[in-house]
Amino acid sequence: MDRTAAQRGFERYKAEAFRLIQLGLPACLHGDAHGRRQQLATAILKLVHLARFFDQGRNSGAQGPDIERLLVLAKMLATYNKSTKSQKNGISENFGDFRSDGKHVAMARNLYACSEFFESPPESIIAALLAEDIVRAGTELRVLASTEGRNPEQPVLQMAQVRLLRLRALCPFAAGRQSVFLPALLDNILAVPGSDSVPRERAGLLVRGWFCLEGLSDQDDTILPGQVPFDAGSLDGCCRQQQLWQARQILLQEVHRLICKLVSLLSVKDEQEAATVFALMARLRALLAQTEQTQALIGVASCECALHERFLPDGGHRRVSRQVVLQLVRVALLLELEEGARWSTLADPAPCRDRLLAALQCRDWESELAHWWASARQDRTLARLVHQEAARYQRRMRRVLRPGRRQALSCINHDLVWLFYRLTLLCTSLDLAISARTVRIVYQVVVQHWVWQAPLSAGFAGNLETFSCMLADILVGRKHSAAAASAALLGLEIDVFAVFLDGMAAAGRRQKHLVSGLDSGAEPPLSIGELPSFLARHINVLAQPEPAWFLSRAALQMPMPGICRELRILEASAAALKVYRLEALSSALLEIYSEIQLLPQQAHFPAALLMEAHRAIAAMLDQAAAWQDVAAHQRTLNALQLWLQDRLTERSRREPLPMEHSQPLAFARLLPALRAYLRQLGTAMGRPGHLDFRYQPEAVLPSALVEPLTRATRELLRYVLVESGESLHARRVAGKTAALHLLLEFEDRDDEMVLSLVSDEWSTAPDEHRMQQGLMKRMGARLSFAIAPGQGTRYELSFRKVSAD
Amino acid sequence: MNSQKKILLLHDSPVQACLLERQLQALGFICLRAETVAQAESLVIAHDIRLALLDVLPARGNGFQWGRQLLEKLRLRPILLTTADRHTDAAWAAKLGFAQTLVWPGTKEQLQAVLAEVLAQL
Repeated sequence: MDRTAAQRGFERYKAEAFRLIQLGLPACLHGDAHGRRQQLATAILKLVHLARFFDQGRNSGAQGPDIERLLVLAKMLATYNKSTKSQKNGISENFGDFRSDGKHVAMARNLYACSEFFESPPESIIAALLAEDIVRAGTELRVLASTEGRNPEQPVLQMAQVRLLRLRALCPFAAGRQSVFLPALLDNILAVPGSDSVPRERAGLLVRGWFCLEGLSDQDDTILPGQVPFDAGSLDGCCRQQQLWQARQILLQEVHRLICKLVSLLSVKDEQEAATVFALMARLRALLAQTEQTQALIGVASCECALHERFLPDGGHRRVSRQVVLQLVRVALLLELEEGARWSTLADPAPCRDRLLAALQCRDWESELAHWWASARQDRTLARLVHQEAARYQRRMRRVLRPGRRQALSCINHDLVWLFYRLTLLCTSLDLAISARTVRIVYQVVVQHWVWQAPLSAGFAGNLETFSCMLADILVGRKHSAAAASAALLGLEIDVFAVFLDGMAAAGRRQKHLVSGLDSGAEPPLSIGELPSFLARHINVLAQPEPAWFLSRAALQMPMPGICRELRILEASAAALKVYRLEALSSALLEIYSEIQLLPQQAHFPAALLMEAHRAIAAMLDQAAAWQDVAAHQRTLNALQLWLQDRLTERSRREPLPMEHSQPLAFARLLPALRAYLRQLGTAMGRPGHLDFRYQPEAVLPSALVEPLTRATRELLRYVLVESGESLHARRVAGKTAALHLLLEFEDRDDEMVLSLVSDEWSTAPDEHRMQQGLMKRMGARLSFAIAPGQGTRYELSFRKVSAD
Repeated sequence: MNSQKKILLLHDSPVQACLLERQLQALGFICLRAETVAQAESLVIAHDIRLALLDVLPARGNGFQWGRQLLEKLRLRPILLTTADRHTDAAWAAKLGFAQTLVWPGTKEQLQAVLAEVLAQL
């Protein structure tokens, strides 16, 4: 064994030893302090033992420890009990000495379990563990957030809570600042009521927990490596905020209970005893005194004055109308909103508050409509048209939201968006200011549901139906009971509150989704809510496709960079906005353009197909811009896929992947075949991938490296596409495109040739990575990985030139 | 008759069409109403119309696509009617070559200003 190999072996076993400590840690976390120390000591002893073991191997003069052999042994031993007799005999023959030694067997098992190399000190390993857990917790809580208020499933909640518990357990081991505030913060989040509380409350609090963690990750680069630098000032603010939270949490729970009591009073048909309402109002006032919410304070004071004026002389024995109770509920809702938004480190709650305040004023809309209808008798033409149109909307609304369909309606569709657009338009154009404001709030809620493709709860669908049909009834001149109107309006206000809070949260959560996906370095990070405006401003070329572009390949050269740039933006944005049909067509077109760049001059240029595809993209963009559901252009998509398939089949026949070569080979010669291979594989596995390249045009492979490099690259592509990385579901949850994006870079260094493959996935498959490294070694390549959480994975294949020509 | 004083109104809401027509008539325009692109085409050819108002979200169809058709087939640059809630319409309409975007319902003065601006471009 030469010196370099020995050194390399030593480095690797050191790294594995660190890994052992890391593996030992999670088990240590749940014990008491004494037990934890003991287990850590055991892990360190294992490290020492391992070191001696390797040293013995080296000092004995025999061939040094072959880690690959050890790993194979470890794998066999790990499954030893399940092996056949002949396999067991094989193990005995090859590794008899190991098998007979129980300690070595245990060690080998540990080695097998160790799969990822960490060349950093243990503190960083713990930080990496923390980062990983935060990211995982984030993914799960993001799913949870999308179901908040819509009966999240108990297992999801439990899993989220377990994640937070794990984070909490890791905190004492974390170096640096997290240990100061993160434990206290997590304690607060975990102090959420247990299984006896309703899922919605728990979900809400857990999601708030995630906001908090995300806020921290923005401020502390040790939590999520690669984030913005740590700012001590923000941290101070955060600590103060979390101290406040303990008091606010109790307050919010009380407010919520109060709201429930008040709402229960509303459900009683008769008017209420003034004394009961006085008591609840006093409680609300006491809660308000703990806050600085002047709007809510004014609201409750106004209710109180009105009640005192009317009822105090009777000693509170007279009955109170529902309107006063309703007003109190609204004030309490406002308080909850203000306090919740204030704590949750979200953006300015003012827009949300304004909407709610607007809703508070909406109770007069019925009288406004009645007044309009009375005055409309003077304009019989308009009255007749309003009647006809309102009746049309009423019929359509009932068709869309009728109970049978409502259950099947998983989210808002374009029909509903259109209906509320028209109802808003109708009320606005008739100068029904209060009604228009009310309908606009509902319209905005509907649009936000539609933009985020948020699930539509049965309760919300019911409220929409009641509200819209009631409005349409009143517009066509029918009477409606005030109680039903108030109840529906109250339900809607609650939904408005919930949805806008969700919306703000969603915008905050998704803030960083598209930084890399948009491929526009100059652009700041975008939230989902900002994407439509961004697209309207930045999609220029695709909006107006010109037939002249597709006359020839030469004519296409000029606009092609712009087209491809916009297609990449569109693909990423459509994926984030869940407009999957547009994403699929953009993705296919991108691939076509990659192929066109590699087309031989004499090859057929698919002008008509490109024009057809661009027209389809433009039509889809028009639909998306008008906030309509995007139609499928399946025939065009199929034609694109077929063209690509034909091209690849033809190329595979004409230009097979070079495996043996007697002459140096231009690196560019490999690319078409690699892309064809990826596509073939992607089609077979139902997992599409884009492969882009970056290399010096003059890059040449020595003949001796052509075969190993080709084989290893193919294997790496197969591994990344098939075995590693995220599932389609995980990509969707993260707002990524369905197609895996890969960038292959080639670099000719002094003593080696390096081929890097950058994937947009954060791969966490240490066992597989380890096996893959062994496989690559047998192919003559050294494989290393670098993971940037939230960004992607970089695989680096190095080939030494020593053995090359 | 001066074709510049004729205006095509492409809107499938009878109430909106009625209210807009009253405003346009008050401003001295002759309003020709259509509910589909096909109806609009025959009206434009028959009456030599150079001004058009077009709803962004008809019941069956798409205002942007209808606008494209008017531009391609009739070289007519329509004014897009949109509402205050729809912030992206103006930017997209400008990209497609619409003459202007009008937030409606609005005041008679706003309508007059937009029409005057578009007429000046003709």
